[in-house]
Amino acid sequence: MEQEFKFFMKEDFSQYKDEWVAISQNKVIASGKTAKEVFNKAKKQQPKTTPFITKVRGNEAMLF
Amino acid sequence: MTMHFRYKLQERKNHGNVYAPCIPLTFSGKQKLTSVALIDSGADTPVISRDFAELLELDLRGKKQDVAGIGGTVKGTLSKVSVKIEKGHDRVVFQMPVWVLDDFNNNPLLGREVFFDKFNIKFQQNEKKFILSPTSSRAGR
Repeated sequence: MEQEFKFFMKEDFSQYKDEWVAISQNKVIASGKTAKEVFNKAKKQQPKTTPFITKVRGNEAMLF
Repeated sequence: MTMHFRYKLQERKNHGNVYAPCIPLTFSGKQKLTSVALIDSGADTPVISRDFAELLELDLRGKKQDVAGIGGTVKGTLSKVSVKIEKGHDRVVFQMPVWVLDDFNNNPLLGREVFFDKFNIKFQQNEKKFILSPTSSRAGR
């Protein structure tokens, strides 16, 4: 988990804005519009690994 | 034990860049996934998407209720999930309630309920970092 998080923190994901990505071993292994789609793609590639998935923030301001 | 994290730089066209207190969490239900949650002191309770809840196979038999946020009211179901936070050799595992929102396609939000009881949280935005200190001495490696 820490390796994937470090990669997420330092890399530029602007090409994936508003998309979900799955990260493994310092690379994006899947991307898509929904968490389910990306989780399933990652599981297919690495069935025994807990997928690391996150949504890449778009240009909008976030107010929760 | 203290766990130190950096704010995540998020570049936005035409709005200037922002830094956000993001933290990696592993969620466990019948399935597991790791994601990046935003710490949100304005939210009463943690929030996840219905996609996440279904992937984790959480119990979603509770009654759907109105959940109010700044964007209006959406339907949600209250459930609970186990989470793990790791940093180096340190690890904290606990259960927390979560609102599972129907119309929410975003990363999890770590609201106050349970999470803010489990940790003293020191935000140092000027240094782009925050520090979690577990409040229970039982939390550990």
